Amino acid sequence: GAAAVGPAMLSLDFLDDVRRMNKRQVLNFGMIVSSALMIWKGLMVVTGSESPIVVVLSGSMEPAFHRGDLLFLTNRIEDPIRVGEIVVFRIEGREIPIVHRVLKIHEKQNGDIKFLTKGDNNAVDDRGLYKRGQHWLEKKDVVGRARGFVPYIGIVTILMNDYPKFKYAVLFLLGLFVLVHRE
Amino acid sequence: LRKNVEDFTGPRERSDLGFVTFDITADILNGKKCIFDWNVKQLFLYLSAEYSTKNNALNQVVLWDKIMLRGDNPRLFLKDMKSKYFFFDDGNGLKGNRNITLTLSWNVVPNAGILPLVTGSGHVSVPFPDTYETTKSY
Repeated sequence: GAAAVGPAMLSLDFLDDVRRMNKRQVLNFGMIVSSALMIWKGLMVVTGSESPIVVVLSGSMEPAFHRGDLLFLTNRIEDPIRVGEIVVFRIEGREIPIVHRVLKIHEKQNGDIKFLTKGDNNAVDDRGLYKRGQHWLEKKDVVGRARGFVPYIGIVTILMNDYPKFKYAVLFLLGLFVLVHRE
Repeated sequence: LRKNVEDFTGPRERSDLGFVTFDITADILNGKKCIFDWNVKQLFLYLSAEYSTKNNALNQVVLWDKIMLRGDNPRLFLKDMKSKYFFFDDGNGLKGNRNITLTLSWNVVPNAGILPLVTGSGHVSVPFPDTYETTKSY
């Protein structure tokens, strides 16, 4: 009769809840990830840079920037490269971008430009850092120009890079947060 | 803002090398206020030379720079300064170049926020002579 059906129906409801909860959580997680991706891609388009936010990795621009500071970049073609600007550039064949200041520029009538950089905290210019035989940087080497910055925040990225255990802990905590957080 | 210079050029390998000595008298302000407000951590000052040559429509070379921290005196009174960096041209465009403009600019570094580049008012035009100096103590 009614008593026998009761618990069976209850357990079915519970399973439905769990199934629904999992779908909702997965959807939530997917929405968070895709929103983040959209914001990132949007930033890339608006700033013109493939890497609109970078973390300062070295002390070569101290005392202005320290390891862990976050830089906001733009890379609009219409913005000409001029001395004094802080550029983030990549040396051909190397993955890690460098953040230094423009020291010299020579620009031709047609807009072709070659320039030299130097870290504020370095005694010499960057020629020693460039590829062998390379004396100048060109527009194609530029990831972006630093337009603004926020201190310290990027230290989390550096810690995650240098201490893998920390990275796993952060990911674990994030996963935990998503699981525990119920709508 | 005043800059006085004396100069001469010397050949180095294939490119012109310019020598400039200068004085700087400057008062760095933000409009009428002191430049060092609550959100200004430091200033990166630089004296740059800008000129045109046959090879390149625009050349800019930083001759000298200085980091001014919050708390430092925003007034500069420097005399007989030599350029910190070699003033090489990309070619031989310094010889006889009458129109080299020296400007003092600065990058405002905030505690957090935008990083503006400001150009000081006042600039000086420097002419380079038509001949090279072969030997000169520097």
